[in-house]
Amino acid sequence: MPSARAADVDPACVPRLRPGVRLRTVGPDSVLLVPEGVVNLSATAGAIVAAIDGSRSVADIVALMADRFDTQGVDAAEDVSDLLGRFSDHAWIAIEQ
Amino acid sequence: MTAKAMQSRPLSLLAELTYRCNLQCAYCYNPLDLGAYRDELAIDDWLRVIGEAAHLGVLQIHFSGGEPTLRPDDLVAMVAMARDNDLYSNLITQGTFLSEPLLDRLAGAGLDHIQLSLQAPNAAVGDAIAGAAVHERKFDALRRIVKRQDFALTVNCVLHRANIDAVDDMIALAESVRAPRLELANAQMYGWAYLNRSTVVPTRAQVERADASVAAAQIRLRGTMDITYVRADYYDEFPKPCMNGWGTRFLTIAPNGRVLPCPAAAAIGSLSFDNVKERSLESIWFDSVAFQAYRGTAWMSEPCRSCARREIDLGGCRCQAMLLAGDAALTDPVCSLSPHRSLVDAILDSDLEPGASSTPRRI
Repeated sequence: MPSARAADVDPACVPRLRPGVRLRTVGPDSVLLVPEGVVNLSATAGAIVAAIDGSRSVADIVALMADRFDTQGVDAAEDVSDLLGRFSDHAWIAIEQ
Repeated sequence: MTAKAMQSRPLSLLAELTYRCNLQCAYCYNPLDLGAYRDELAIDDWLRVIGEAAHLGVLQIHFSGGEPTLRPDDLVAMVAMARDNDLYSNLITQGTFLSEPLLDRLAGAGLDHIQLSLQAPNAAVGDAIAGAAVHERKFDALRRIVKRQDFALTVNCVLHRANIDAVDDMIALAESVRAPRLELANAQMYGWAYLNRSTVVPTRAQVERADASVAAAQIRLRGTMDITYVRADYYDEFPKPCMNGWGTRFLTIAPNGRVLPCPAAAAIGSLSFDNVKERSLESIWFDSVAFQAYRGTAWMSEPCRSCARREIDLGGCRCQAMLLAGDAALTDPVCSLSPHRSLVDAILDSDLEPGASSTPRRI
């Protein structure tokens, strides 16, 4: 089944990193190690990926980010949804509906 | 800040375990003098070097060749060493030796990703390109890896004159096995591919059709299968920024232990490359003559030196300048601004002789 597109991400879905995708820290920075190479992550993106543990739902991750970065819930939802959409396009993240 | 502190560190190491291979693809980028690499780096040296690479900053290690699974025990030990050092490991293979027991051992050692190459979407063309009846065995390995789900998988096909017209069928095949990722890479014109350029370089019409097919498939399959496309750079207006700049992100260790800024660099006869048996990887990266030769932009001559694109293209590919124009310090002849662009056009404009054949890669 195809993964969800950004606009379709259901808050109840549970995203997970696909096999062969690993989060690593290099000094103060987070990088995502993927089949195609090394993806440098912003602090926000690193925190979102770190929150993807195979049990938290999209809504859980949004709440965690809103809390952590003290943003309005709307912005956090947009950040999370945008990252999940882009990363699932690259097959780095699975969001089975 | 010292010069060493300002110099970037490598992110990625290509470990070429052997140049031996049971296939004879005419588009192989390996060097022509394969016999000179028979004295292969021993496993103890490889394991030490993986530790040195991790210390130097390398995050990903790619095992390739030749066919790296021709050294199966050493490969498994190197994957385990990579995992112990928190490196991401990638096996680049043609898949003819990927038995279930070997896959089990690689999974146990912590291999992250397999890039499996197919020569074509069907056995008749694939076996003709490989020079051996191997397509069915490779396709079987592909299906088993998909089913196992313990590795990330990329299906790879090197596009060239003999198979580029089948690009839609190749995409359909990858879709049919539910491969998450497909790399369609036009042949890089080094080594055997350059020797065989008259039969390897696709025609302009072929490239235009493939460009359109792949672009449509990338849109259609977004979210289902990620398609990476490497264009045929001979047809480009500007050269590729090869290796993201000489000695900035990548290093290659050839089967004999020599350390190269790019897998094709051995073609640059004016440089001598240090060996990990004699010098540490860190010292080679920071201080060796070969790694400093084309770093940055100071080595450039015109038209690169005053070009607005010099930090974008980085002069293109040193090995391509060497092969085509005989001097690695020249602008990549692919560039439309290069005074040597006519050398590329002459290859593209030459009609294929009827009955022309390739020289099969042999070791």
